Amino acid sequence: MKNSRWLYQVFLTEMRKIVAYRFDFWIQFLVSIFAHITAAYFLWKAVFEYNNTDIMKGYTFRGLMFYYLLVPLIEKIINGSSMGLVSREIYDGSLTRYLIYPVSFFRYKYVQHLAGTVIFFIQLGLTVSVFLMLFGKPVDVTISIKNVSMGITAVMCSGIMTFFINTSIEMIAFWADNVWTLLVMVRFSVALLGGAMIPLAFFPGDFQQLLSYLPFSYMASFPIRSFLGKVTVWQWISGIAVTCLWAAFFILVMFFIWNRGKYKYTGVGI
Amino acid sequence: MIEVQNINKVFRVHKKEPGLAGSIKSLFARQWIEKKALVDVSLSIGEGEIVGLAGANGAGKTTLVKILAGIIHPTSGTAKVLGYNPWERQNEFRRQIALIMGQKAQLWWDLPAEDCFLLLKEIYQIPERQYNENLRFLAETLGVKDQMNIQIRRLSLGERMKMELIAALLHNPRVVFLDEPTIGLDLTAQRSIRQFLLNYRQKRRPAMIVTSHYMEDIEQLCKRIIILRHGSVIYDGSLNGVSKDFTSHKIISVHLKDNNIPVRFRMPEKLGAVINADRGSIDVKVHRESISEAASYILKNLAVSDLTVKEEDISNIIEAIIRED
Repeated sequence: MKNSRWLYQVFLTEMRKIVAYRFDFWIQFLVSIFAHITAAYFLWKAVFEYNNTDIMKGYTFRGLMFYYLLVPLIEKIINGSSMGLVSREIYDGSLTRYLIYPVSFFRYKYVQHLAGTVIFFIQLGLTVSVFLMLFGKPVDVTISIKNVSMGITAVMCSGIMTFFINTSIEMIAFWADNVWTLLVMVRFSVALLGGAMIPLAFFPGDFQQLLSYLPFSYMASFPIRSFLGKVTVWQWISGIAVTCLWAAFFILVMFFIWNRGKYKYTGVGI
Repeated sequence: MIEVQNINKVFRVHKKEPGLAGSIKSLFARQWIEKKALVDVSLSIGEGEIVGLAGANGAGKTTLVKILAGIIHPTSGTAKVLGYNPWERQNEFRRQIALIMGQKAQLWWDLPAEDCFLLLKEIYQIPERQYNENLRFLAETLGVKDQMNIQIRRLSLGERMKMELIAALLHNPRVVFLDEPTIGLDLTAQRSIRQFLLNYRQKRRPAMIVTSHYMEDIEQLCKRIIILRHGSVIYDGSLNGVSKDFTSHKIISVHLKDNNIPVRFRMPEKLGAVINADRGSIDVKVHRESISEAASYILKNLAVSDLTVKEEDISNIIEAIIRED
């Protein structure tokens, strides 16, 4: 592609930045998995024992643990490494750098996001391999090339949608100094309504139907279930379509906010 | 090359009363005040010209630079830089300018300088040969060839500033905005950066706009100076012209034949005043119109070995203008 070598260079530079601090890189990775798995393990162990059953809503205990293992990894892939960065850059004036460069700001930011995605995909591959080696494949989980391809596509589409959602929210920093709370609210909604805290299969059917129209489930539950082989091809196609529709909506929102916000930028700190 | 017509910039800032009560009050009702950062600023800068922007804190120097570099939009007025409207931020415009901010690092802290330069090479689409030549020239001239592989955050302030200069100049910009390029640096680093900028300008001849609190930067780099006060241009002309426009005095420096200054020596008030007397040297501040009369008086009353008439120190004059003395 003509004049797109810079995108590749941004991608490489971002990867270098992410792995520049290896202690932080591994600790973040291990702690987030450990926290998720430990809490889920004790909670669901008690639930399964209380109900005296091996399978609940299509999930075995080991299958659920595999689900919870994927939650922090998929969330990291979808959110990339640059969450909160745009708002910080607007707040402290670092955005100036990108306004000077003769390249598209959003392309730059998306490639930065993508670099995080690739690094965290590697972490996902490593973790899943270790889990399968140690505990074997849960019986309710199907791992196949088809499921992995469907999962990767779902994650990539969710990543694009999440980038547009997060960037739109972060650009509110043109008016409000601190937008971190809004980002936390999105994460909280993903946890509660997106299936990161409790798989959506445990929710009532009507509510599940309602949630399938909102973007939150496409930021956690849908890509995870695609990987686990828990969606039919038709469900997957409609899931991808909804993700793309939300992405299209938020790209319009993002440019709308940018076109107004750029007049508010004062480049503080210089 | 740079044409600015009646630029105004008004910032709307929120005012908060001090203390916890003020903070709580501002949660419900906010008071806003309008701050005029630039008032009717017009100026014109030609190709290869190097212009100093001087003014106190808040005078509008950086705001003007930000507008000309396309970072912020003016409230009203027009500007053309290289024929482009800066705040439309066309890529062709951005490829030809550079902004160096002494107070804000633009390079990536966690990466070595060379990695940052490689990224900029692609962003500015610098041909391989030009990139290598420019990098070699800039790194050698600034004496940082051996620091290129060290993480930016591990470099000293002076070295970091030099890397920022390299990053900004790699693509041969035609217009360079330098905002406080020597701020916080020690005297040696300041001198070396000034010398580099002079050499660079001689070799590449870009137009340069320099803002600085250090008058030495302006004096050594610029022939023309624009002085801003409360957002308005109060002087735009040659550096030497500042003395003529803003001071009615000159200094007569006298060296005596011996080191003793007669105790009884006094200058008549209407001619001027002694501002410095030390070991056989006297400086007398005199009105421009009274120079010959004052010189005759001194020659008649003192045993003079040498007498020179000079302008007041330009940096003192500019500082006085900025301080509104």
